[in-house]
Amino acid sequence: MNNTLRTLMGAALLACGTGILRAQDAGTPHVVITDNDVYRAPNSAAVFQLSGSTLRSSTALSTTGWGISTGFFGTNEQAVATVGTTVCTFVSDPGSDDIAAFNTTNFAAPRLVGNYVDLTGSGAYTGIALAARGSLLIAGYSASVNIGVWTINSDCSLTSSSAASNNPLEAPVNDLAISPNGSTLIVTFGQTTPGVDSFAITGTTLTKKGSYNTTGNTAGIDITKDSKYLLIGDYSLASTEIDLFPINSDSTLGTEDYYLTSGGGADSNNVWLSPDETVLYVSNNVGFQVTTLRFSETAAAGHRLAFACISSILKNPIGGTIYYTGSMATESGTGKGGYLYVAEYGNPSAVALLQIPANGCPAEVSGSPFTNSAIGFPVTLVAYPSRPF
Amino acid sequence: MRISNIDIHMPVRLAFATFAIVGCAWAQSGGGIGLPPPVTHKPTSPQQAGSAAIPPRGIDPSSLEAAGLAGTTLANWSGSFVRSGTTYSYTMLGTNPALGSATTTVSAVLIPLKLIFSDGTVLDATAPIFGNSRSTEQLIEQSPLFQNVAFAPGGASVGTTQYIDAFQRANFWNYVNTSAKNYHVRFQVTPMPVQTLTVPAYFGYTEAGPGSRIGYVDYNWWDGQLGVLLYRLNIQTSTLPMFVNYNILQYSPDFTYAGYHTAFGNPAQVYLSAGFFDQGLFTYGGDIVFLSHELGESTDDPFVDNIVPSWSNPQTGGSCSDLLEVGDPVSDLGIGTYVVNGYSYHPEDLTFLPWFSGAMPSTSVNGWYTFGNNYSGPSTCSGGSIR
Repeated sequence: MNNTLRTLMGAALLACGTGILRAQDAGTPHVVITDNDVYRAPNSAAVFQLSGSTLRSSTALSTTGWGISTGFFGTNEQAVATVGTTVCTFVSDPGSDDIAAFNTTNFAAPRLVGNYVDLTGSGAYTGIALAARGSLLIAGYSASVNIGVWTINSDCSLTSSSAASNNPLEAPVNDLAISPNGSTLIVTFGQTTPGVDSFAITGTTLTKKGSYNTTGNTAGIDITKDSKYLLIGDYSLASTEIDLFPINSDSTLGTEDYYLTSGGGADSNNVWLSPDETVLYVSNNVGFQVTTLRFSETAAAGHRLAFACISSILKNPIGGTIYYTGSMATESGTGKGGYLYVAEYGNPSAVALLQIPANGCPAEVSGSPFTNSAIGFPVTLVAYPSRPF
Repeated sequence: MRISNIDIHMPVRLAFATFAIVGCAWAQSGGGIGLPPPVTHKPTSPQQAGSAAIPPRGIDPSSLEAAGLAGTTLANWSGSFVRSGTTYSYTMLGTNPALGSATTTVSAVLIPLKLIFSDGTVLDATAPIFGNSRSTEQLIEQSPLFQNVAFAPGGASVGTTQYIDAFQRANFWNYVNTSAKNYHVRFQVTPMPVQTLTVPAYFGYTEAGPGSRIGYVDYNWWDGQLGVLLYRLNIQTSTLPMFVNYNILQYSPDFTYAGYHTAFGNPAQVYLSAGFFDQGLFTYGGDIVFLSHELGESTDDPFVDNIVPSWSNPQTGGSCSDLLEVGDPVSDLGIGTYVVNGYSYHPEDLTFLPWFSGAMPSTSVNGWYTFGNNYSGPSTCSGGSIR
């Protein structure tokens, strides 16, 4: 039996078991990328490829810059964008204050296109947060406390469209996200005054629309497919807390809808909506679990989120220890997401792989987590291809 | 939530990286389950400021001497002493004085910083300081740290040389006065162009001082910027970068830094940061007090891993340290004023190895325990260990 046939048979068995037919079955490689954020040494991003129910380490992305090995849970230090038929991957180097751009149309043979510096933007505090949508890459610089806007060119190179100094913030960015319709930028802050900012995006121009206090301490962001609701994971050591806001058509935010959920789960910095938007996955960063909350956009305020289930404690890597779990992404673009990837910072660091059944309560697969040989600080990840919004 | 940097090469002291530094217990700002330092954290007085050795990251102790010989890190040697039946090893810059005369020239780069604060204050190490036509950079280059001055503690001439060389010669006087008369550890300094840093309001502020305004900057922000400069300036691990500033302190929740030294990586990169302060800001001197402190410590514990018997500062008491930091036991103590090119400099006293090793009598010059003879006996620990 050749490898392809073996893979197809394995995938078919999994599909039978879950009722999900995944893109990986059709031959599209599914990858997970996580910035290692190596402290003051040549940085890299680890790349894993999903093969059946296993993550295999693939060619790493060597940035040539430096990392800082610290940061906020919400700070996504990698992003993927598709420009035409070209797949571009961006990895931040907060230790050298640049963004490394790769052409990853073929993830097996990535090509570094360049390292891009905004002289008014520095991430050498808690990192450079990245968010990509269309041909726009927005960078949140934690040390210079501002936002830079970059245009992604067809060869994955970057052109500065708005220097970071043009877009000051009131505190270092934790996470930022661009709404699926491309019209709103949401920024959270990991600081003493919890809150969230919204900006309208017009071309490559950001216009601040409001600053909003929050009940929880804001961290990771997700936005619904219709761009009408904002979900924010809060850092909260002993609980799972979510802030939810309606997003108005003018990019302002509506009234906060705060959830302190039951069911356990320690800390909740990272959130991820299932592709069908029926559940919200929450990474319990210090409890090493994943909490699933039922989500209904049409429900009344105060009833949009409800506890559904919580996973078992994720397994330590063999011979090692998890220090924190980080951000998540789903493998499939439909249903509950097929598989859930969870970044794990530990010794060694790893990516956990959880299979998601129809009820949305993920369970870690045999063999998970899959370790990362680089010594760094991988606490966020991005998947490609992934959810289509 | 901010996640701290945990060095997974090292035993995790606390899950969220509460580091210890010499002379004070310091929870890394923003470390662990908590928030980065709020902007409202302000030292109540610059007098709180001090010097510190920041724990190293990613150092491979087993390769340091070979790397020094290969020229991929600063030239260094290792020695040891026994106290109360325990052997303590240490690594210092230069060569082993027990092996005779040799001159080590440490290649150092002087990197002046220009800080622009959100209130418009500019503190520039290349601009004239308050009440003088010369800049911080010029005054440092012309100081006894890098110019030859006659040093004669207690009347014993240890040489006309740079201060740290004089200190190290006096430190190992039992050899230098006998079998290693031409033993030297000197610094060859190359100035680099001024580097400008813009401080966001969130990370810094200024207040009035006795001369120019005093700048306060978040420590984590500051050290992050120095890391970027190390990268952008392509600083080699075979050189010692010295970041110097004018009148700027770095704050964390538990400590305010006037200077610090540390090292990272493999091969190891040693670097230091020190402020040059207006007279009157501190009890003792200003000018090169902190740079002499950090340069002395960078020489005698370059990789911040020299473990010695626990000691406490005889002046201040309190918590004990177990690092061979030659500046900390004599913080705020001088060796007198040295006038060079018309400027009065105040080098800080530095502590001899016998103070840490407990040698009685001291094998250093005059049988002293510090260059300025501020202590008459070896170290003791009057409090709990903090390391």
